[in-house]
Amino acid sequence: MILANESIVTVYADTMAAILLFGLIIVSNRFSTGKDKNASKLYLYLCVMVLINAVSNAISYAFHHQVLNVPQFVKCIAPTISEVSALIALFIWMLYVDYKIYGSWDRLKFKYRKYQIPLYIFEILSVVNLFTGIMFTMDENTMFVAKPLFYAMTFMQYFYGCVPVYTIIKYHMTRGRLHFFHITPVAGPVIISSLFTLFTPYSARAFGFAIALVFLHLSYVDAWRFDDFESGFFNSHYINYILTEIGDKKRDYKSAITFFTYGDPRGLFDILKKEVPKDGEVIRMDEDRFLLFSPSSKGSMQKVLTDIIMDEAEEHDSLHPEHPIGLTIDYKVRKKKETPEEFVRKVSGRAD
Amino acid sequence: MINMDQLDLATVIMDFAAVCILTGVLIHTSIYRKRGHREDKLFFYMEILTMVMAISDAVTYVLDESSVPGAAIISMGCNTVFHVCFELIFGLYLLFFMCGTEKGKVDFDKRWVYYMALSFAGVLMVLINIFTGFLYIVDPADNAYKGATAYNMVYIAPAIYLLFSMMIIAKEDVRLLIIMLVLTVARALLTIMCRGVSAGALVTSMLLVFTQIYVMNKPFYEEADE
Repeated sequence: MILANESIVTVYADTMAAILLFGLIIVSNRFSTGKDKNASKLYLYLCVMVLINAVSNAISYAFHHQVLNVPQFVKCIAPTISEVSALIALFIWMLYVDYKIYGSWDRLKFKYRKYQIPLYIFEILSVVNLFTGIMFTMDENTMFVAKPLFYAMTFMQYFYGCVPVYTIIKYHMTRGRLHFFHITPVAGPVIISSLFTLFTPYSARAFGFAIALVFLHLSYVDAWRFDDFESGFFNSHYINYILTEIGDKKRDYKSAITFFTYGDPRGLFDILKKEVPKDGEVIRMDEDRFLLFSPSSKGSMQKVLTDIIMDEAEEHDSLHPEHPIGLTIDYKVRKKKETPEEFVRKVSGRAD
Repeated sequence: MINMDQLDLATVIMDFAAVCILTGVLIHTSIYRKRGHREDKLFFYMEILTMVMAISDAVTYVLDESSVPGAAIISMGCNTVFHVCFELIFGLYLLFFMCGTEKGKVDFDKRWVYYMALSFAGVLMVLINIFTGFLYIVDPADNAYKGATAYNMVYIAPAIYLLFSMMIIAKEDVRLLIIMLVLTVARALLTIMCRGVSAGALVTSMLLVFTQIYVMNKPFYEEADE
């Protein structure tokens, strides 16, 4: 069998996608650490589905322009697996993004139970299509011939792919940037490969998705290092990163505010996100201690901020007496003889 | 003017994908470059060289057999750049892994020039080719790239460096070794199956991605063990 030139682009892209995903599954540590089991499970299923899509798509395109003396349903097996796996992959992708952002398995079960219905319908129709050709057929040259119902399935694929985009945008608008998550390396390959597949005779969706999954993994590892998932602030290890930047003379802090909670810290999360300036970096040192460094030593500005936060915390405590925050605030200014590094270590409690 | 067939298009797409992958890796590795470790700087140089390799490869395939004025000279220049990068990358790759070993850390400052000797020899060979054409030429008559019988010599230095890298990594992380073997075999098979398509830059960029994941699996500031 000689590959038709038109098939080479797709077969090459899908082969690279398969290698990328295979490598990701075996090289990545995330599946064995158990740090976030549900997310890791979803991510693994996603990688496996995209891998199946890549392989089946490559097989499907490899036989384009070939005359095969086999029954219709045999010709349709590889394309069917390719389209169904794409649909399932995008569904899992939708669940994964929601879970990573909101961290709630119950929310997934509740919110997305209706979204499963089209998934099951199209899976059944795809199997029926093998024997009836109601969605697509393969002609005598093993070329794909789509019918209207196939485009309905394609619409659902793009729908499942777009819902996470809405989820991410909504999160950005309400809660700010996801630290260490670079949207361009994840969204870029998916968008480019989808447009490429839509407007050319070739298919590179699996390749684009595989690249996106690689960058998602890199984001995950970066975020895992320095993010506190519960609050959305930085965790205590971020202090090491700050100390490195101070050593490079890229940061210089003159003051610090420490927030202590003696009650439920969760009430403080929203207050800090609302009142701390967007360029302020809140670091959660412990369960109940939060730090905010500032390059400014202007006590008046810091006092205004701390007064606002204290007022909001008291209002929260009066409205929610069953879950009070119990906030106290400490403000420190760097002494003249103190270096920025010494100051950060003193405030954070990080020894040399 | 430009005369690209499907195979040329496949190569350009692969090179574009390589550039996209490397751009993303550059964004993600900025935090590692801030550490200032020697390995991080070497990794950065490898990323840049691979990007240059991908771009020059794409240009040569776009201009191959085209009637663009000056195509032969540009194509020859880009081919030279591609092969120089190819000779250097794997030498840096070996240095990168050696920096992670105790002996390598001690030796590095004194001996890196010796370790890179094969790479420099490969670069010299590619530069000599500009005047002699013993590896490849770009025929000005039809602006077509033509490999000579001695072309396989360009693979000698990279193959040796890759082999030594695999020997080092076999002791550190077997999973990365498996990926390196899969990529090498896949590259060889794809070259045999589709002779007109070049995926060297893409395969190298994928190798760098998995190497970066291997780096990320190690502690950054000792926090990853928690």
